Amino acid sequence: MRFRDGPTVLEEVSFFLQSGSFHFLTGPSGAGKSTLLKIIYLGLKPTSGRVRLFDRDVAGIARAELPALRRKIGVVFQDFRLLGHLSVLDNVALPLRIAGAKEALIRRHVPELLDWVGLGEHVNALPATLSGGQQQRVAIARAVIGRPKLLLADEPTGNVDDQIAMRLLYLFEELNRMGTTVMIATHNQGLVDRFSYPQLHLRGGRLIGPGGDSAAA
Amino acid sequence: MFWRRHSDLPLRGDASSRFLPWIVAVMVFLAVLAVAGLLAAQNVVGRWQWALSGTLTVQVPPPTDAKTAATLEGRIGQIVDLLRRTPGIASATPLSEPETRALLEPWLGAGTAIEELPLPRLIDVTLIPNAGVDFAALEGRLAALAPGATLDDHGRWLGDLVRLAQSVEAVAAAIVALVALAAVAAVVFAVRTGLAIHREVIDVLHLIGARDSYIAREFARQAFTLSLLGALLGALLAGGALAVLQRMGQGLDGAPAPMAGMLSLGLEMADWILLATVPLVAILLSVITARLSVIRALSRLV
Repeated sequence: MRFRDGPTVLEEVSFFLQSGSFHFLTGPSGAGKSTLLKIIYLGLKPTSGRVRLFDRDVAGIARAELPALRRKIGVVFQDFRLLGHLSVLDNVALPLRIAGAKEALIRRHVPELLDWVGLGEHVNALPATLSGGQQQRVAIARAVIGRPKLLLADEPTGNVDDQIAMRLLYLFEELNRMGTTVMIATHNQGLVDRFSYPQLHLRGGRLIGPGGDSAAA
Repeated sequence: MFWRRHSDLPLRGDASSRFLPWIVAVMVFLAVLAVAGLLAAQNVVGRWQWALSGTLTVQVPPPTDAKTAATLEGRIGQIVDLLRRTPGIASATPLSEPETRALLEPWLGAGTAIEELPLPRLIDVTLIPNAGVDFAALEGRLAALAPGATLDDHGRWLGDLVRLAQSVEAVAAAIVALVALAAVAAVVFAVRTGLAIHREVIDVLHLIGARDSYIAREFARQAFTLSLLGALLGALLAGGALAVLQRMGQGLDGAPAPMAGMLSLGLEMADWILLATVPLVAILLSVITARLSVIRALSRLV
């Protein structure tokens, strides 16, 4: 993977995520973690190579089919990408509304989840009025509200304290137990070490280490 | 308040959208006036055609000397007899000199000038509907009886009027087409600007799984709201303008009847209903344009 005439960002990255698995994607800043996630959540097309998602070759998927595929993927963006004009509640409800969920269902689930991530008091707040950590939790709630089959999180605990970070990871674990495949990109090795999940380690755009080998397919 | 549904795209505050209601208002105003002009032209032609169909006018030239002046009344009588005997003619009524002058008075005014003018004598002829009069043969017999007498079936005059009306119609249709084109261009511009401004939000919506049609619906909803405002304003202004024109036309009672007929809009209920559809069409056009523009623009994205 490369951007225009720039250097190669990812090279010879080959792995397979078993359905229902939980992986950490680790590596230093600039190793290519975010780019790899972008490719998986269909935000970027790889310049070469092949990506298979849910047993389908992404290259062969028509543009009209992409939304259905993207709805199976929950993404926590590194920069949150919350919609500034929408309240916390409307931001989190967005995937459900896009999928055509009924308001009654949204009314039931969204506040419940916001309570769980500690934002029950901020349902009507605009993202700009929240702290970085609170915004991150809104982004996480938005990513998980639709019970995605695959959850990709780019540094989801970067702006929260340890206690909240653990709480969020327990949320991811809970989702994983319910069948969601989870991949969390982080450079927080201390946090990764608290869990026994396999790691995919990127360095210089290449997948290295035991995690990478074991996941390669 | 708590569950108030927001638009997923913050289009409401866009600078590009702010001018759209005004543009739509002007477009609707012009389009309503143009369509009203078109309908009025059609109505005028219809009225004149209706009034003149089934009638003829025989024109006998004014006497040129004392001898023809002395025999004029006799010749007119012969012509009237001839006309009344002609198959297909229901009646033939000669107009007296004062009656002929009365026809011209609205244009030339009463007084000595009109008294001194040599006026042709006119015979008003009514035809039996669908009887099929042989005009060529009748014209020949008339010429033999009174050289210089002419038969006017109003065809040429009506033809000119129809051509004029058709020109007015063509101009009005062209104005409507141009107005529609300008409205479409304005909507396309607003939509493209909106797409550029909100590119990041659209990216997020796409990544969350929104279809192009979902995003297009947001733009279409915004176009509907803005064009509804504009269309209402434009329709209100155009309605006011037409009402004033209609009233002015009705106020021409003192004018010569044909002129009053020409100047009056003469719009009927069906015409007003048709005019009321113009703003609706404008709204529909802007909504469809917005939707198609967004889908077309988004389809070019990855």
